[in-house]
Amino acid sequence: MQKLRHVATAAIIGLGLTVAGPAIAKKDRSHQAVDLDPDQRGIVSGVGIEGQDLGRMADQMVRDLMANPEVSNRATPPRIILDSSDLRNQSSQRIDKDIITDELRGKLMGAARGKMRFVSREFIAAVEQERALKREGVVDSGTTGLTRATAGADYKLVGKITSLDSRNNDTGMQERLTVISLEMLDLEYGTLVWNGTYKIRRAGADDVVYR
Amino acid sequence: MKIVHRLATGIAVASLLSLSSMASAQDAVDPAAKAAAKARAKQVAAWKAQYGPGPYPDEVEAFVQTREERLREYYRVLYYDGEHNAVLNFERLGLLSMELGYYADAEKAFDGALDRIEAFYSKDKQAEKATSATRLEVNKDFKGEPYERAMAYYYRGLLYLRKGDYDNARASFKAAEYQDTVSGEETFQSDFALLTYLQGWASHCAGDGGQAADSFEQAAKVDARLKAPGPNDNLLVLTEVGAGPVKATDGQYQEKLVFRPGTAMPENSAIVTLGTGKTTRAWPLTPAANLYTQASTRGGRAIDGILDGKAQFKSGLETTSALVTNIGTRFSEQMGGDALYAQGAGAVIGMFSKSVRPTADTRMWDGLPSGILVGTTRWGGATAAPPVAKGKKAVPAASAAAPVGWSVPPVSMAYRQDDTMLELTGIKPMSGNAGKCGVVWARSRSVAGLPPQAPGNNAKIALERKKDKGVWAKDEAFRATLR
Repeated sequence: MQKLRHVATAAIIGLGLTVAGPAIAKKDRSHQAVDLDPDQRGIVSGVGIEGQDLGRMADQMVRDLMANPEVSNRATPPRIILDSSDLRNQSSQRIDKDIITDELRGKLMGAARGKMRFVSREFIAAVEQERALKREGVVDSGTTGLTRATAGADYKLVGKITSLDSRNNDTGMQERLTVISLEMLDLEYGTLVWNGTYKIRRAGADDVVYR
Repeated sequence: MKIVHRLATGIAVASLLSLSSMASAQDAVDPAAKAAAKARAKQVAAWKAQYGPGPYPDEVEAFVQTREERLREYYRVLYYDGEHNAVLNFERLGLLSMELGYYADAEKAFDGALDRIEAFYSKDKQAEKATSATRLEVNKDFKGEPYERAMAYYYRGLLYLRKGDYDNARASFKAAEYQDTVSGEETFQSDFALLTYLQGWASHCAGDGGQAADSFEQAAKVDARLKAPGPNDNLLVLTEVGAGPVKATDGQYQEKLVFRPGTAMPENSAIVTLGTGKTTRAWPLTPAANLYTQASTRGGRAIDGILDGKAQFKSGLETTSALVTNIGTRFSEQMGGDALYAQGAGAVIGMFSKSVRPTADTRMWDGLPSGILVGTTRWGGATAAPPVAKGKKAVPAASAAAPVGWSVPPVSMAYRQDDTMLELTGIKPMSGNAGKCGVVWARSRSVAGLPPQAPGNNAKIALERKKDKGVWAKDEAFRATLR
């Protein structure tokens, strides 16, 4: 019995060493990168536009736009340019405006299901190049055939990002109201057929040692 | 029972065999590797004694080798210091990169600094330490004083102007001006008129005439020398002169942070010369900002009250120590007791007082100028007019419209002391005109000669800080973003 205990103990220790040994040897203190939900507040935050705002803003704008019959319920789907070229940043936050329009375009394309057509002008050079190759006979006409010209657009998304900053020097509290205002501009008639506004009001205070 | 016995014996033997085979396999595979590993372990032990938990020279060297040669020493410091001095190191690296023409490095560096300036450091352990009676303020991660933060935004704004991104340039100058609202006294809030003027310039270039006019008007109200540019001006010229403000400590225990003018430099004005031959144009630039004024009119910081409290506590302990020692000794002698007890108690209180550390943090951005000069002009030929359909009238060109195929001409600066010309040419100016407008930026003094380490750092504290596992992990994550 005594012998059996010794053997069993040795077996457990041996097994433990075999399994845990390499793990102990490789232990390091670095932090693995973590995946965060893009629709939730991140680890680092301030008073400006953050990742979670983009998804919420796009959801609200898409709902709003889809409820507008002039744009979303036409017999012939309207053609829309949706890029950042006429989105002005007048706020105090540095931002890559493409992140807003890309998010919105992605969600709108998913929701529209053919009720709207999106015209890309950002990569028009690539389109023109391919059209030239087709017409020169360097490449064949593809599967969708040739058209006389590239698509003209009916509407264009335009807008502004503005902000209002305030601070209480006694408490160190900072506050920013950011307003993202988007409009659908009729490119023929010049009228605005839709307007959507998304507001973010955020306040916070830095640690006392930084005030 | 026999089966259990055999099973246990089998597991034990298998475990031992696998362990020994692992070891022997390593021996057999590569004895040179084993020797190298041993040498490495010895080296790491030596580095550990010198650098604490790391990062060690081989890792740092591997990182800096991927960077531009003239920036490597700055990157080395940035990598080694981690989050503690990240804002300061990014700012210094950004300015050097800008001066040497490595604009991508400069943009990333200033973004790195500004992202941290904008983030709230709430419940931050290092910030908490800075307020502890027995810890120095220098324990906190550096974010800089408002004038330093504003200058980081200013340089980022200039880099955006260079690329023709006028929206983000305006956002940067706006955020820079916002830093100036920290000033305790209302008179000095938003008095950094150059930043308002630059917002106006960015709006002017973006075609927002109304916003531009508002900003120029506001700037002129604060500083009448800042006149609005001509409606067709498309080139902004800025040059920086002298050495910026210096941080120092004052008070019985160096608990007060004070600002002093930087080393006196003769240059206080400049003449810019654009172009060559017949197209040459030269004119004096307008003084637009004084950084010492910006630094010294900020008013009290919230941390000053904490440092003052620490200083009073320290002073109280020192007084108590002296009283306990002197009065206690006399009392003991009069009563025929042992004075050693009183002296011992006094010494203990005295020792405790020494552990109270109210000294203010003097880490600073040392490459800043004392003054900034500005000017604008129209450069280039005919304005590109939009194509006009037959039979229709041409529309007059909008302000700051792009001239046809223009580029920023050769630029040189002549620095002066009042009206006396100086033998000083300054750095090679940065210039660019990616959009409708162009920008020229120069400095009378180079930052290339400054040491890679920022002044005011406390190496002992920095090393001690790395021993904290949480801090180390944060620094590792920071280094991962750099690699």
